[in-house]
Amino acid sequence: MSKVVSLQEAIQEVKDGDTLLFGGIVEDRRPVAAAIEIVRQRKKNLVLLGTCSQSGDILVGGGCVAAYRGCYTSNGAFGISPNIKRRAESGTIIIDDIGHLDVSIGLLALQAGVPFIASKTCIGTDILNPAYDNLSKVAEVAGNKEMLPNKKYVLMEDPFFDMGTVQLIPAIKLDVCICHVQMAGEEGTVRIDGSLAFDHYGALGANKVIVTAERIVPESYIRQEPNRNCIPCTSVDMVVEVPWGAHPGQVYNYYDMDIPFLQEYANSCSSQEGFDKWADTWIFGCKGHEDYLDKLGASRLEKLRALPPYGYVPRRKGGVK
Amino acid sequence: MNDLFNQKTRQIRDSKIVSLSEAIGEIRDGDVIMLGAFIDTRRPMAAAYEIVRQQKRGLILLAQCSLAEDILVGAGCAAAWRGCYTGIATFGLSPATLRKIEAGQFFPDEIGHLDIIYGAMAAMAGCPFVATRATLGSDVLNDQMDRNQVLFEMAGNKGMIPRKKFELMEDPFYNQGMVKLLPAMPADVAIIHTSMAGELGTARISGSLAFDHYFIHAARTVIITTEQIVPEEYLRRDPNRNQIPCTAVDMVVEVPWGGHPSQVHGCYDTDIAFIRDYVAAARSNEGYDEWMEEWILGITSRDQYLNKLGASRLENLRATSPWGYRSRSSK
Repeated sequence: MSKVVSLQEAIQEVKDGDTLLFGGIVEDRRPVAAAIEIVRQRKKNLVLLGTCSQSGDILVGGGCVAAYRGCYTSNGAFGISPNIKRRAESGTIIIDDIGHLDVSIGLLALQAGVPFIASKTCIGTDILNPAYDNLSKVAEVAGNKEMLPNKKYVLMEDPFFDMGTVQLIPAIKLDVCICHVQMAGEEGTVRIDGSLAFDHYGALGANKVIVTAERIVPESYIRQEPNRNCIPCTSVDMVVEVPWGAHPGQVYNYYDMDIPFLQEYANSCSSQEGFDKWADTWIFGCKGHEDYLDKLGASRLEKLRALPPYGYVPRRKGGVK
Repeated sequence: MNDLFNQKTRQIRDSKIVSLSEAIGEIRDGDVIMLGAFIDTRRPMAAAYEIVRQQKRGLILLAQCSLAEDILVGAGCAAAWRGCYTGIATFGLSPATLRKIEAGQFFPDEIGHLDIIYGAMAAMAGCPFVATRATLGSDVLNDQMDRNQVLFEMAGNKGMIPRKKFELMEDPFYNQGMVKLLPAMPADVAIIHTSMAGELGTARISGSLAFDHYFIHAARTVIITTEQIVPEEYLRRDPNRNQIPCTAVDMVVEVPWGGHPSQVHGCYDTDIAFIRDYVAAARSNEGYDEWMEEWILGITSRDQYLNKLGASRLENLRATSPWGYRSRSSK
């Protein structure tokens, strides 16, 4: 049964107040086209989880995010994610910091269906400082309160392996997980090239899973090599074909980062007016993703196309100079 | 503080290829071991035979007690076990295991199916325990069946066994009520059989991974037996097909048909007759000893094992694309 829908239809399923995880990591395989559509549909009060770069930062700039629980707010080489940085400094977004491994372990707990896992990851850090514990403020704005844990963490003595004081890390629960992948079948079987990031954790545990794919292929084709598929169709609700759906980020084996675009974004977003002007061009000034691509221009996109076997664009290419 | 979960550094510059006897020589009496995959699928059978041949003693088995494990139990190599599932699927309950448990010579400490995965997952992540509702309301939590202390006393490396089997507490996060704290399940040794591996340890599994992608990160020493050792460079052309990174592997051994009589997806199907014969023999001490003499102790090399089975028998097991096993219609 085909789960293929348009990007607009898929994003209509994201509800105000949802807890949301974007797949990918930093500038790798982020669902930017999906993020742009979320801003275009003017979603509100979302709780962004995990990390905040590219797709997440666009949401924050667009005023869609009320709260963020995560560990990493950067666009890699392009600096701290500008919109969330601005809002954090002005106090216009609720932020609850958790550790890097808290995100991994929290999502591991989600996909395993367990309420918490013990670890020592943040012992001795300010993650455990009550002064920075904003979980209750995040829970206030969440649409579905059951998605947030009652407490940020609990400390107890490890009764099993003499590890001393350990931190109980609650599962990170998701209303929605949105992943951008290289290939998906029309029933939702997903194949990712390169790093999986946390996509497979999020997809296995989220209540609603939206997959945008460079290409949708016949299920019969994608199932010929089952060991190459990392998310089963049973975990996916909607599939959308969105070529260049992670632009300006990279998609291994498909395209490399659009560095000038990323630099321009970083420069624009030092102010809200700057972001709004950027959004007028790239979000509200485009009817949809195809408009966005036309605006970028085919020749610009061609220069980003990945070269086998590298999977990205090497500086030295044998072809046309 | 327990350094149990501190990953040891592994070199990835030089070849890790060793012989089967060298690899199994690294296993010490009293070690806690995990044998890869499950039941009659992709078991490290050649490794199991070698463990018997080297007369290891006092081993503690983890996860399941199925085909490969039953052979170790029957030979007196294994003293105790923590896991779930003492069967060989359609071939019935594990025969030697049943006998030895009833005779009080082998001690099971039963946990739930999910406990196996969660335990390995926790050890993989360096976490001392996870919370779960699995097995609540069952006899897994019955004090009278709790043999954690037995495992602790028998283990060579005491740090491998938790101080207790479980603890109960109220879930403070999601109002789930009573949950069980399930301790991590680390191992001294994990042995995984794959269809392909490189000389530095990168390995590729076809078909079900079972728990292997957790086991390799839950054990201190990881041995990969493989149908064929291929160049690392070949495996790395398609990195997403490699589920086992070389950084998680200590030793690599090439053992064609190393999973026989279990099935190895993409390579060969289950040798039903062989397993049926084993199960029938293993129902009694004498029967097991005869079988062990014929198929393990009386065999001095893998070549002899393969020749004894015979090329035509093996050819009839060989898998066919696209199924990965031997379909009836292939004949």
